[in-house]
Amino acid sequence: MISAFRELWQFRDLFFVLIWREITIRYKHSVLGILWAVIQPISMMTVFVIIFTKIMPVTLSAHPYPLFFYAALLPWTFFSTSLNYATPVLVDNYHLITKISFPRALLPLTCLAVALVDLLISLVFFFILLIIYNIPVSAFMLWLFPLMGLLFLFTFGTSLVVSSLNVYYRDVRHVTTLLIQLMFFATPIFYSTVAIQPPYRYLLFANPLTFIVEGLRTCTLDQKAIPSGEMAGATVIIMVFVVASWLFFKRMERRFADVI
Amino acid sequence: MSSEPAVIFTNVWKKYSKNAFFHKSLREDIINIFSHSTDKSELKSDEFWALRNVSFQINKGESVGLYGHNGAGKSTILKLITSITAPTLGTVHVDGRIAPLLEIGAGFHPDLSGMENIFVNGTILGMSISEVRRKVDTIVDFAELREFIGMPVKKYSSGMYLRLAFSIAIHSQADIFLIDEVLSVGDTQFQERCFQCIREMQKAGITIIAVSHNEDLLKSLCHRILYIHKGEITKTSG
Repeated sequence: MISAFRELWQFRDLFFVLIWREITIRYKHSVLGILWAVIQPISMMTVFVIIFTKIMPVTLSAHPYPLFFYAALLPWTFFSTSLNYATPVLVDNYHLITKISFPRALLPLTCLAVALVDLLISLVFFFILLIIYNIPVSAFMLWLFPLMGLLFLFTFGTSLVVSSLNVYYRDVRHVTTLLIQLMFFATPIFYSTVAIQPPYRYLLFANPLTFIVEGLRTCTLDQKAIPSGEMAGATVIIMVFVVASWLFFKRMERRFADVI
Repeated sequence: MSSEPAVIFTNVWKKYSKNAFFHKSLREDIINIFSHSTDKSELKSDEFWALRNVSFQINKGESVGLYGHNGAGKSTILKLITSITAPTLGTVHVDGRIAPLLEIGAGFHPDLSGMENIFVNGTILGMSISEVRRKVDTIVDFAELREFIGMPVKKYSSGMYLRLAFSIAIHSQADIFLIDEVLSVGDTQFQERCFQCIREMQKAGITIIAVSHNEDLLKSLCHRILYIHKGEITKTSG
């Protein structure tokens, strides 16, 4: 694992250039440019607010609905955009993989880095919303850092598995699209786990995103600390998952150039 | 030229599958993931040997040409040297930083300008950002693209594109240069400058491994030529 980081570190310049290339290409001919990063979560939030206040009024939370939805859409958008970028990234770059030797994990990692820039921009809008709704900025919000760290690791592990499988079976691309749609409902984005009864509640927490989404609401909207026991548990589970995904990727990587 | 080895191949075999899809069934794959028992030295019905029992040594500072027909296994050897792919059997040992010019212009994006692409391609070839920055003027001048360097490369003529790509490649810093059929670039004048550049590298003690099916070109450039036929080295000259 340490040698893996050393290898990635050696290629840091390539990594920075790849991130810069992706971002430049993405916004080169676009008028709104970087604003697109916030347009997606904001439009989703608006749709939910309209549905759950006007069309089908339901009490979901004591918090203002725009905040309640947006807090969950932040990590969700990061996860889904990262996966959408990362799934085909190895196959799309086959000309690099068959001709040049470099750590292949840099490619999915680049996708995450690009999505991370979007996430940081949409976080700015989140803080604007917090000010609008008069929610004080408190020290509990420092929990955002470990939560974002876990979100990044979980997304990284998933991208490693999905992108490397896609080299071998192109069906994976379709499976990922489907899985992302299903995960959307299995993550408490337009509802809260508080309202859900025990057996199903535990089932929801089998999805690490549930912990991250609810944690994000706890530390910002409820202004409470996240129980350190829960945090430690989630960290261990996600770390094990990332290490396993890394080993899986390393195993698959050996034959990328031959089968792609 | 020293007698220190830069590249050593010891009884290298490389197997490829003819199938577009390498796997026969999901079930078989799942079983294979958990077992290492399959005998690598046997061929399945859809497989063939791209290299059979290839052994050679290339010393530091030496220029070696690989000559053979299409599909003889020349490019496979280069891919093994760069560790893009792993040998089925045998060992490959490489000592030194490699500049893999297997495909010039790797990572070029049509929407990016020539200047931007120098950075992308340069770092892909293993240069650091500061190294590219230092060499950027030399690269542009060598390619003779000073006035077009801010233009997106999709608007380049194919000659301009190749000149830029080759210029970046030739300026990367490495101990071993792998050159795969990329010598037939641009007009004769540009080609002559490339050869000059390669001769200077040879004087500077850089190892060069060039692949071509142009025997005369290899003879004029290399100390030694390995003749490859159907995955085997049939003779060595020079």
